[in-house]
Amino acid sequence: LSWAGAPRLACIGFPHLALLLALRSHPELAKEAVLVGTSGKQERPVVLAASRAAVAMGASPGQDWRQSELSCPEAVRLVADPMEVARLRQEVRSALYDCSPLVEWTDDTIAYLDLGGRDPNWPAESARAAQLGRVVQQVLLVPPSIGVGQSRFVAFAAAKVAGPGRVRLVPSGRAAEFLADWPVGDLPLPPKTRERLFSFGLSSCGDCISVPLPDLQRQLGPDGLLLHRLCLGLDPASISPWREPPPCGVRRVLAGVVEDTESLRFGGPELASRLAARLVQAGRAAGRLRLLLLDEDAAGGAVVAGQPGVFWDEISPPSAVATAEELLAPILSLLSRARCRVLVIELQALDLVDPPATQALLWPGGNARREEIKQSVARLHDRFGAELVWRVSVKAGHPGDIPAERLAWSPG
Amino acid sequence: LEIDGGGDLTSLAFALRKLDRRYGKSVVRVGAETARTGSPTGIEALDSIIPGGGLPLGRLSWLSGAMGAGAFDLSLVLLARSSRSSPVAVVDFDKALDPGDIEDYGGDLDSCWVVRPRHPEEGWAAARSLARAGVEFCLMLAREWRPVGRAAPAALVAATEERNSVVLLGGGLLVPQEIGGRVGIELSCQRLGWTMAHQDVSGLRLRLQVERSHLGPPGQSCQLDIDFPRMYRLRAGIAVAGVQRDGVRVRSDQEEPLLAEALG
Repeated sequence: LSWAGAPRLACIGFPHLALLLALRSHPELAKEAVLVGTSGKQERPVVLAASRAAVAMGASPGQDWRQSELSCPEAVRLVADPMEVARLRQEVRSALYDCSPLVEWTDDTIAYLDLGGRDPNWPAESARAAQLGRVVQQVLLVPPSIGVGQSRFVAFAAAKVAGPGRVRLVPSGRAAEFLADWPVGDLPLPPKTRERLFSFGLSSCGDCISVPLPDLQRQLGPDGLLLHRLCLGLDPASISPWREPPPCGVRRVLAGVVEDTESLRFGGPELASRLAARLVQAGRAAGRLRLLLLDEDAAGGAVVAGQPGVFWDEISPPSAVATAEELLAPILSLLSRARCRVLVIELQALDLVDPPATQALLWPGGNARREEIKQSVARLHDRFGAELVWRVSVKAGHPGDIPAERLAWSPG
Repeated sequence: LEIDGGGDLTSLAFALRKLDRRYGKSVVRVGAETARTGSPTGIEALDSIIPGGGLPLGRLSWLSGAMGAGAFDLSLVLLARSSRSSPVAVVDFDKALDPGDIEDYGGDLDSCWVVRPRHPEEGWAAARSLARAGVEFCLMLAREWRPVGRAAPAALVAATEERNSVVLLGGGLLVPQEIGGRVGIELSCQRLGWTMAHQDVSGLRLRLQVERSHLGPPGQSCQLDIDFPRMYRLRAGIAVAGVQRDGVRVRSDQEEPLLAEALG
């Protein structure tokens, strides 16, 4: 087995970005039990990050806010600022992309990089990993933990072993040796499989590797093969690099310069529908909208904020917007603030996120409940015939009082 | 009081605050603050006698009464009131309902689904489906309740509980056991007489009594006047010659002698 062409991956671990920002604002809480959660304005509030002290008391990220109150009543609770977190995330990503062309951002606590190839500035892998740590520390202001290995899991395990401010390198071909003491309970395997391994008396990767592969497969099925590969540091998972989504916006060039910006408001619905179409095409929703109004001098070149002839304004709706109806209000709000000469209107959707989960049935006329009832009636008609459920309406005019004359009956 | 080692109200308040914080506001309540479990009908006299302040949510209610006692009219009034704010359904087992009455009582026919089943099982199945789909008030009208299997009322109650809706059985003096066992409250109607205006019948006066209730003590009663809503063009056979009939509604042939009696 040759390890010459084996990939080299780095795993960088750091505290949750929301927790870092919260502790920057409240340095006095550095050693305290701190929970940072979502605001709960749009969805159920959950814990995003917990400090070490809070974790030791029983709280954990992902818990419901109420649940965390029960498990850790003494913890200080702070609400994360999603915009600040997004800004810091963007800074870290940019810094990491300076070090490697392939960066995967799994959540706000771990990132993976491809360290394959050579960097003329840092020819040694250890120097390159150390540089990586310095770069991240400059942005986050806390030392990260870095692990480098031949596979994703090995790098992750190395980062866990290394601890904050340290780098652990696992040379290619030495992964099995490194993982020999790694507990089975921390392997990315289904809980049932882990329980079976415990019941067999296999508690570490070293124990598992001593069992022949056919026996593992016979007992555990496909998980046996995965276990074997994990213990050898041959897990097949690769890096899914994060890419900046393409810009999403609309640009309209007017027939002539408009000085009365009030009249621009009439173009709001069209801008909203065009931008909504773009967002639908991209399958995204906008967390922030930016409006640029350019006069005839600024229309030709590159645009920066504060440039003469450029009106630049942004708005962040309370929740991410995706449809024309949702976009219209913020767009009109932006247009109403503008006081300038306008030749070009540019509307950009920023902070693109997955569209909020909306119930499709809400969009047809009426309300969702009526649509649900109509579907239920349709099912009843399929089952019992079309003469079971009726809608009744009073005929127009003065049809008389006899029901047959007065009322119009229609199935369902 | 002993939880915190104190013996005064301060420690009680402290303990309550602690419980509130740990388990939520709803865990300890003062007796008078118990949540309403009923859907208010908007008729004060009626709401005041029903435990819970309205027709119980998630249970069957039964408005019982003999023919002409007013149960049918009162049921329609309640349905019409509910239809103004939410989708409703009426299961007309006897196919005797004129849906125009709902309109006449101020209801919204656009929010109303009328079920006319050929067999009782169809009616119960339709009620269950509609309740599960989000109909908030389901009225089931019958002069006589025919037996259905145990499963149908149980399934309807389950759907009603799931969506917290109201199901009202209107009419009849007896219900089969499998339905009666599921009834949360029974209100009996007894007609006291007609209300008069301009020497003519303008409505119906009835007494309502809580016969049984799973939510509170029975025995409470009240009187209600139901105004007939609009002019009714009399059918052949029940017309009373020489009587000004503006605003009078006559519902059935059986009522005519009483009407004539009332009018002298």
